Amino acid sequence: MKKLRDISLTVITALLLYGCSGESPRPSLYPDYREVTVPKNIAPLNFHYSGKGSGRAVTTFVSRDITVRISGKKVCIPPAEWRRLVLSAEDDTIHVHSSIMGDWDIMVSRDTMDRYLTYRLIEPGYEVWNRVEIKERDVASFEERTLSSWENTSNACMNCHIHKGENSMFYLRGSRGGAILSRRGELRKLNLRRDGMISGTVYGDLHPDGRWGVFSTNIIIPGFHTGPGKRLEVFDTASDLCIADFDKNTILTEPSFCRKDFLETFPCFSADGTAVFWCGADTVSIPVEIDKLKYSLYKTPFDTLTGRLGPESELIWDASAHDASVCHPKASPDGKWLVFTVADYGTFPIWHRECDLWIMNLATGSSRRMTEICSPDFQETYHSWSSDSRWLVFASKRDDGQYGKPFICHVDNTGTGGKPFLLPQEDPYLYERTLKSFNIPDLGSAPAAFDSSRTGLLYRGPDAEIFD
Amino acid sequence: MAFTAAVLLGIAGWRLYPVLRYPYHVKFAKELSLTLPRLYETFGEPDPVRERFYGMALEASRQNWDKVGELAAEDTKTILGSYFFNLANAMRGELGEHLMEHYQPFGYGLFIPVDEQSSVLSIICSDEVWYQLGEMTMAEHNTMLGMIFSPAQSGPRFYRRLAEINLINGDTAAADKYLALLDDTPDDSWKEKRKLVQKSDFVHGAAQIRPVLKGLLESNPENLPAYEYLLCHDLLTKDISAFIQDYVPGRRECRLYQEAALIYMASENIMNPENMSRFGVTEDVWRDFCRYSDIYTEDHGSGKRLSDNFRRTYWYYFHFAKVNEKAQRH
Repeated sequence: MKKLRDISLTVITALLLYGCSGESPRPSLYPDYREVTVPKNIAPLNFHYSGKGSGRAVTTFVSRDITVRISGKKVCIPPAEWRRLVLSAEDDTIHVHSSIMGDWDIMVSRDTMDRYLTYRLIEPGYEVWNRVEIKERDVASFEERTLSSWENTSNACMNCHIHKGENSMFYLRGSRGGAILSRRGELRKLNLRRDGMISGTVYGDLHPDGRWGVFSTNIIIPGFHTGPGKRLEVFDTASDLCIADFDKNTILTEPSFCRKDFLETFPCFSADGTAVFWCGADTVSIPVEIDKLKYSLYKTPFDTLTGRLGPESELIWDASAHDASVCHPKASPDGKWLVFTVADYGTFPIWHRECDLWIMNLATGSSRRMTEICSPDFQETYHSWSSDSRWLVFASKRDDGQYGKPFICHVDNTGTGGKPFLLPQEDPYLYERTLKSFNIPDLGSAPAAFDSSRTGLLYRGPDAEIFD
Repeated sequence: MAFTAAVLLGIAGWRLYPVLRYPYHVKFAKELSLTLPRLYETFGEPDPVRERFYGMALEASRQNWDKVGELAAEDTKTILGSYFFNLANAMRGELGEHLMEHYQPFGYGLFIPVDEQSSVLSIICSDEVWYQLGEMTMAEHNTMLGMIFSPAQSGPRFYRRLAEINLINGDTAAADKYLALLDDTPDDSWKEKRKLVQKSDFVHGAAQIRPVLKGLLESNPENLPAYEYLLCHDLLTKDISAFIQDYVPGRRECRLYQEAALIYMASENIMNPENMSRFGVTEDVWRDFCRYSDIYTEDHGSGKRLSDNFRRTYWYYFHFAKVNEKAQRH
């Protein structure tokens, strides 16, 4: 009897969930590739349907005289067919007809995006790690290779892989780690710390000519919010700026960028390398006054001959005027734009839901929230420019609030972004099944000149080069 | 033919024996998306002690507190055993009553430390207390750590808890992600936890337990397990002044708290009828305290005689319990 009652309850619940007509939920697709602008060298935009009728769906892609038809809920376009479609639709559209969801277009831009995207695969938490890897994905295909793996680095943490032209750098932590610099094909392990610095280098950028690096040194403290859903808060109790000379193995510091009453962090070079953008804030009592910690944006001249910063810095985005805090500035390679992250407060906004990307016109100094690419409810962070300044990749938690995923958007010559789309995967279910975040996605025009075996050899090899 | 059949039966029996004898091993492996050989490889060959650990972990997540208490009572001097013993008692409203009946590795028996010395099993179990008390940030953080360090880095145990936490927090999109990974659907017990969550927001370090518990109580004064955890944390860390700040006489009648209040009165030299009444100290407890003090003085601080009659008092713990860091973390 009880069993019968349970079955009846299940049926009633199902009816309530799906409506009295017995219909399943309305069809939807994921990832959403409707009305997006894509580079012509992107991999097939595979997706899947859910909901009513998805198993019987027929999806037709049409571009000029080419037609590709795929049946079923899982829409995986054969790479050769996709290549034919995008080549014929360059600067035009691929028209898509779905038997269950109607019609839409995919705009194919003539702008080609940098082909190599690196990211760290890590569980959302970022305070503790286990089995971390840095991957490099060829965005024109689904090929992914490992640049650094926990397996051959004694499970050390690794982070912040950044590109600048043919050069790139990331950190391998652990007892035999260091800053791993790939410069003109040469791989080096560096100890970017000298006496008097508050820490080793943390956040930074490489100069376009390859000789210099600008970095912050940070004393980083993780904390936990008690408010529901607010999670982790990471803040600095001290931070300074420094310049590394990779030719002479020296680190330059300036007293005016190492103040105890001021926090300096997240430096990056301007496109031509003659200035450094960075974030700065007055120290406050933390964590009690964490909501008063607001960083402004500054621009400081950089002498490419001597590696000296300053002497004067220009305030270009005033935190007090916006009652907000800025981090992660990155200049577009054409020198026109600066994109940065804005949160209500703090310096590490990956768990700040209000966190959005802003863009500044460097010719006029005007800035605005990139409303057209930001989600209203979830955070966008860690953006990276393509070398043609036409594509922006950023991490967004917009799908589930928990896992960062790499979104790509086109940026036109007015600095306006197109509808962001998720980096396509061979398996369209991958993002829903994975338990890793795609952390710090960074675009590069060339593949990294190393792989995980070389990284492992370097890790286990001689000590890191000393810097004075 | 008969010989082959006998050999095959023998092999089958040999393989099935631990499965039948240790059912919690099987269930725990499933919850961590592990095969049994992988479970044995990671945590050790099946035995009654591990069976108890897995049983406590599984029954606690189902809130079968009597069963958890039953399994934990058999434990001998392990952090995990104390942790589940205390949690089961707290959830039945009896933490203070039974605290001194069991091995107490200072505060570690209330909140399992999670650091590079922690065992994987400890980390996997460390979220339970935070979840049950209503502190969802720490619960989620520790669940995530459990998943990160578990051998398969996945498993229904983690998906279910992460789904529950996100449902409680109102993060339905995140909850949906984990629900989609589950074959079953969690029951509705998580709804009860929603009323316990902190209403105010502040930032704290991972080791700052007291402000978090106080915050939970400020948000919901009826959260009795959080209140008892706060008092017992004060007592197990021998912070009598914190205990006196946190203790609300009359809110929770318990001999343990009276014993602690007497230590406070003695140390402050304020032992008088008025304070006895204020802290609700009964005649019996006062009489025992006098006896304890007499023996302590007569024996010049030796615990030998006291252990016979007062081993389960807070006075004995306060005087004689010592931190053995190495043994505790093993």
